[in-house]
Amino acid sequence: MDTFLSLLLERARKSPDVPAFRTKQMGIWNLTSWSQARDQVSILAQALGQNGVEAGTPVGVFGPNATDFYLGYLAVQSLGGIVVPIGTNTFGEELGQQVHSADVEHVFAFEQQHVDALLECGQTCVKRIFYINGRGMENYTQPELMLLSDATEGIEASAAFLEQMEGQRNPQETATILFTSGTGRSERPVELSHGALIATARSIARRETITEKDELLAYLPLSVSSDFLFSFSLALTTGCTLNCPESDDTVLQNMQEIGPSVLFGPPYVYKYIYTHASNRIESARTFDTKIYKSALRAVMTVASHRAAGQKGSFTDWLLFMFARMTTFSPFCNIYGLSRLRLALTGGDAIAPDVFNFFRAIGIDLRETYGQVEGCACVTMQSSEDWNSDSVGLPLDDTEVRIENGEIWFRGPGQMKGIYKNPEATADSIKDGWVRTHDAGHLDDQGRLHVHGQIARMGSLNGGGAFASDMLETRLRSFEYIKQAIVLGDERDYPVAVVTVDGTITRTWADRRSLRYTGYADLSAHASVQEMIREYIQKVNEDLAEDPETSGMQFRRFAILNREFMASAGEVTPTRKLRCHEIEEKHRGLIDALYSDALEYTYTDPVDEESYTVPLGNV
Amino acid sequence: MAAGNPILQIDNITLAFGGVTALNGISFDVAEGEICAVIGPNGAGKSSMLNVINGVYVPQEGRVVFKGQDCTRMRPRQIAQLGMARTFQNIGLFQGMTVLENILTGRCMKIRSTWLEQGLNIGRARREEVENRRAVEEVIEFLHLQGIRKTPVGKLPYGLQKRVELARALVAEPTMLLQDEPMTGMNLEEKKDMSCFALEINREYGTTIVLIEHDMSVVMDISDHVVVLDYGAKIGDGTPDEVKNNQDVIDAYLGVTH
Repeated sequence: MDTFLSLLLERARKSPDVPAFRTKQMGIWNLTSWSQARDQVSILAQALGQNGVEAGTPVGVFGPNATDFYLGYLAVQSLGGIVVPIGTNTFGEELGQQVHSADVEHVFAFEQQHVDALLECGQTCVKRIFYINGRGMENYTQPELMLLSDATEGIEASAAFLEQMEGQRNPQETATILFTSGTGRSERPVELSHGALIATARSIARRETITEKDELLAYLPLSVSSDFLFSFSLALTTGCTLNCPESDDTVLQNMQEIGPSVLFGPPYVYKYIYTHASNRIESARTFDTKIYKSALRAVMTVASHRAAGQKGSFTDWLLFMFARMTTFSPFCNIYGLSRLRLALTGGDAIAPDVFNFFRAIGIDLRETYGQVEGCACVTMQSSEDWNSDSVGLPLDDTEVRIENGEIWFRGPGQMKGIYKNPEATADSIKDGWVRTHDAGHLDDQGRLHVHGQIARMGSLNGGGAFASDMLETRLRSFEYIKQAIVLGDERDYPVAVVTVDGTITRTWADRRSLRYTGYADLSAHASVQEMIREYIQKVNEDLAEDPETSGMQFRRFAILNREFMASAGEVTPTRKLRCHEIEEKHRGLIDALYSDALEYTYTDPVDEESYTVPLGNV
Repeated sequence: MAAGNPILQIDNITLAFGGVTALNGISFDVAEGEICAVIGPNGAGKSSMLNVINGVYVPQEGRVVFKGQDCTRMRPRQIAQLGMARTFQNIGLFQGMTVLENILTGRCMKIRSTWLEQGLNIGRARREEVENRRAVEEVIEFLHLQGIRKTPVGKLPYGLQKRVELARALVAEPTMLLQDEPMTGMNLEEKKDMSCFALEINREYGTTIVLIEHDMSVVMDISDHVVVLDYGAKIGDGTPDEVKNNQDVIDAYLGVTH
């Protein structure tokens, strides 16, 4: 049985010179080999030990995706400490709450903005902040601050120290505390053990034969459980190289430079590439557009055959291969996807059109399903799954069952519990099974189908069933719609509040010579509203075909004057919508949707400007 | 940053174009390490003042003393070599070149190798290339330009072009930075960023900054010292608070009946 420390030491022994981490700094990719990683971890661990970190101490790690922070994880864990990753976009009350509920006394932070956030978060439990970059902090006198290079001064690398520590570690120890995303329920600190994370990562690696030749890209906020699993844990268990981008704005460029072979991304990442490509095609020359569209048709035909389990004709197949070679192979190269042999998505339902697009152009995209409580991955599709409706089979030794329509699971990857909260733990784990608060069913092949959060399923006043998650996913399939929230539980009919994708809608509007001043003006434009209405009508027609969903047709919709934003507390770090907050915040708008009003005027608290949102009937 | 001894002394400068007197007997000092704002209504002579300081215009009368050297009659290039850099009111970048290449041009003062060495990529030329690139990368990081390193400048929005221009000035490692209206045409957020950068440059590198700006809130927030010009004459000189309460300044800005 392994811990992350023993995995590191094993790598450093077996393949000392193989690159472990790569971070782009100052325009250059800097490599850290496994033996260098071990040396740096030993220095960091000794420094942390001297400052009071010991077994069971939660240590916050607050910074961007960079080698230093992943090494920080290992240093904390080698002392038996618990890593509490904090995303760089966390601040204020939310940060204070996380720091408080995980008892964080020590924090490993990057630079001024993180130190400021910690000092201002209103919690006094933090006793020591190590920071890496002291720029702009010359006048800071707080006693808890310590420059990391001061803390490590004079300490020498010692493999023996780590080996000694290795003997004291055991896989049942908590490796990390991660927070549930809090889309529905409040955020809860979930304890995950070394053993659970390693078992989950190994299970994925075994299925897909991920080896040390693979390249990963770590770009999701550290606090996201999928980053802990698909970046850190996967890199340690398989020995593949973890690449960290230069900054948040350069992820796409860096992805192209690295050409990752395995990539995990929440649905918004794939939607972004899909929309970005559509936008470029929209603004291309007519001839190019025609070629692209016919190539897309060729690959989509075959993909839909495969999804339906039919055998297509030989001509179709020929066209399919031709289109892939001539159009989509260069396409993948532009986006840095050409070496990608395994693309994973999860954390939210992916829009079917986006999924089909990637499968058709030759990206082996798989849906996964998982929760923080299950190390971020419980089930995973295989490469034969050409449909986005299921999320595949459970991982090795993992079982899934449905009770009263709710999904429960158990297996090696399940959590230890909710940190210092036995009641919540008892509520989440019953007889060894972990509840998910999601509804779903298993099909005859044992694959799991997820319907959405139970809390978000309900019924319309007329008595018809209502599932907002499913409806939102359908709306998001449209490249012009960026975000969508659907309401209808205990109401007369379903309504939608959507936001449009600024980039592609602008291109669309420019082509039609529409006049607008900015995003808010564009989103309120009659033509944009008409375009969205047409799409929602199409969704309604699809819904009408199935008797189970025919009652869920939209009657009214609104296009918001801005996107839902993380800074307004409306979006989680993986860009899922926080429905409760949005419902609270936009109550007036929602009430207006349930009246006959054709527009709604309000003062947006974000910029304190007044906006008029047109309300549309479908 | 605490202000020290005067690094720049403007002594009784008079500049005339034909019959028009653009600057009339202007004198003021800029202390080392301060942020000094030159403000005034349109046509007050602010840009002319800046052009006199960095040697584009030669005044008819008076002296400009920079770091103890009289540089009234020096060429702009010589003054630049003394450690003065500037940005322009209307962006002066090479539109077709990338951000990286544009910023690299700011290092041309630092190049000592000959064209032959550069052509053959030997000796000093090689070492300098690495040095210059490192300096550029530091500034790119400082001003958060990583995402657009390889983008041609012409494709960038106005606010970012201004930032690239600042980067090019900064990469020359100046002791004094002249900024001609760094914030015109920017939105609120861009202005905020730009003000923060000015403060950070001043604090981090100890660079003295002389800037021309119209936005009063920005000027009052970031500068240590404000000089007010009107119709080519100096009508105010002091801390932001002193200037704010100066009756002449209020008159010049709000207008009075003569």
